Amino acid sequence: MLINIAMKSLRDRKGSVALSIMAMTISVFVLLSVEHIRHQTKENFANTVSGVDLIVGARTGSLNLLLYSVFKIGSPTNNISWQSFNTITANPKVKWAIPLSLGDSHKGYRVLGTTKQYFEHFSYGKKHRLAFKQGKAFTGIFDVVLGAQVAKKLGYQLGDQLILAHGIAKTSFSLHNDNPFKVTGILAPIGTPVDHTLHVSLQSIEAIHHDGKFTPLSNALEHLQPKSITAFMIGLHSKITTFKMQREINYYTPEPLLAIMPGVALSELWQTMKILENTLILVSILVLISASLGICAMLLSSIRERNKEIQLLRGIGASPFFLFRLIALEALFILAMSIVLSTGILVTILVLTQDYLASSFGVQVSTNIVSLGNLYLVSSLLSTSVIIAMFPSIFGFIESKKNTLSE
Amino acid sequence: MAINLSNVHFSYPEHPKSPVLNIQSWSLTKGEHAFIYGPSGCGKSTLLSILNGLLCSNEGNVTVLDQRLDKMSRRQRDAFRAKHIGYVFQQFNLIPYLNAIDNIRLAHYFGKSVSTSSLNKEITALLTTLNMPEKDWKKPVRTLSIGQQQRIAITRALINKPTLFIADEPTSSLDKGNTDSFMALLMSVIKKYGITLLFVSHDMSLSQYFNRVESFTDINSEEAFQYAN
Ligand SMILES: Nc1ncnc2c1ncn2[C@@H]1O[C@H](COP(=O)(O)OP(=O)(O)OP(=O)(O)O)[C@@H](O)[C@H]1O
Ligand SMILES: [Mg+2]
Repeated sequence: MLINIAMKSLRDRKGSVALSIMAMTISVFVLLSVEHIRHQTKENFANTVSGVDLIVGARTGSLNLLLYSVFKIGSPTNNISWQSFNTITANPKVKWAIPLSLGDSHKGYRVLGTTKQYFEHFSYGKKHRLAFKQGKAFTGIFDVVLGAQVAKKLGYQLGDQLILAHGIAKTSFSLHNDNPFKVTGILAPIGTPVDHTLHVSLQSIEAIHHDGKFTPLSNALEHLQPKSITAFMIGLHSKITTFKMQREINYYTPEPLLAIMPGVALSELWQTMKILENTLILVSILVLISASLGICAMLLSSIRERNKEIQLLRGIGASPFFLFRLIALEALFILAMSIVLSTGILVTILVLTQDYLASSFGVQVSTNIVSLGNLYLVSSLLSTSVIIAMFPSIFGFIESKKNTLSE
Repeated sequence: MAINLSNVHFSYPEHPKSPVLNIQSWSLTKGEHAFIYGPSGCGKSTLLSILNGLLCSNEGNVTVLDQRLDKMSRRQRDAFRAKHIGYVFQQFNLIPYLNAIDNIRLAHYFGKSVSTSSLNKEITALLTTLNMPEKDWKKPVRTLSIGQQQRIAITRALINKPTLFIADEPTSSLDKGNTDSFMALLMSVIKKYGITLLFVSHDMSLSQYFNRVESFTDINSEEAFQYAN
């Protein structure tokens, strides 16, 4: 009976109820998404690279280097010479090195020029190696290994031919039509920017940019030594030597270089994001408070409007406690509705923008919004809503006690 | 004895210095149909609120259906009212967004008297007795005419089989024709179920339906009442 009345009374005030639900939905949505994105980004960034001791690039901000080399966000300021790469990696402290050459694209996906070392040493998450779903690493100049999403979205299979372009825009003017590439391998999905990358050999990058007509006869890796690369990753024999190695690279004289430790750069990134994060949280809490006050005001004024209804209910025997529960139920319904709606909207938006976020920002946002943070958030929202529901209910309770039947 | 009042004093807590009621002694026998008339603002509704337990007298003895209302807790009075008293108000009798049946069920829910199995039959019988066309039973009552609403109000007031029926100017918003048919219906069901009736109005022309007619000013010796407006 209580639920029946509550629902019918809410339906009777559709307009204001719908507005309150909307206001509340938006604020809960903002809160949930901020928390979700924050959580996801951190997790993602932390998972994208592991087991790499140093990342080396042209001298720039350490964040910038980290972002363009690992996350493929932004573009490198300068290249470094192949000569420097060879000199530094010849150091006996270095166990392995992966050169990275960026700057080309295929249908909006980044092309990475590298060596076979990449597939052997690059790791992500909890030191997982890259794995091939199909095929194997590139061997020839015109071989390409696709990230899982690239293959899926563009519908490429092993053995397919494709054309690589210079530049990173989706519609590149300077298509290198003459040199079609063949898919030799497809990587298993790992949920990092690797999924959205095409991998070719360094020599292929040179070949793409080769001015004249290229003769497939000289299809040998040795003929096309790269002159420069964008950055490289280093694994050391012993972690203890990391700082020493970093200093050596930073003082490397022939060319200004910068070496960063991914972990340190990441925490620097968190530091930068912290202010933004806190601002976002503060703003969404303020939005939430204003929406809550809105609901309180709506319910309070509805109690005034419904004064006669309340007196009538009292007249036919409803206790003040019944009215308290009635109003509390209405408030809780509005709030619960908003939480459900905003969760639904968030999941929908995530599903719709997942690919966009991943390909444009290299951020792999999971559509599973169940995280510890969000659970805390929802439960604290629920308890807040109980408190919010309390105010008008108590008001209704008091109002219903001072009773007369006079018109 | 249906109602017995002695030495009842009442003033609204907002205006403690202007007492509204001072009733030395007044009573209503079971089965009586009493009509009390008085000008607007003289305290009729206030008295009725004390009789149904919504308000509590400041002092004095209020006995309704052999129970001392002034000795009961608020919760007990709420339950007592729902169970034993059928009440029809001047205007706002029904929850506007509920339909006739839901309104009646609601009153039944608070009264908790008849077993639920026969409830639907009971509602149907009452609504039919009160000449409510069946097509209007499921409409939100706000879409019905005032006359129809007041008839549903009678049904609502009767659903818990009250022993005492109190009506506070139920016809004041009805026209002459509607008032006559309302009164005829009310009196016929009251007689049919053998219920004690206390009817209050400022409209003297209604006194023809009753076997006991009294002026409110004869009952209430509080001279200092202010006329509303
Ligand atoms: N809730 C209230 N708080 C304070 N004073 C009230 C309240 N209700 C009524 N009064 C006052 O009590 C007096 C009696 O009011 P009451 O409503 O009982 O009159 P009434 O005889 O029913 O009038 P009407 O015929 O217009 O319904 C009036 O002076 C009124 O102003
Ligand atoms: Mg009145």
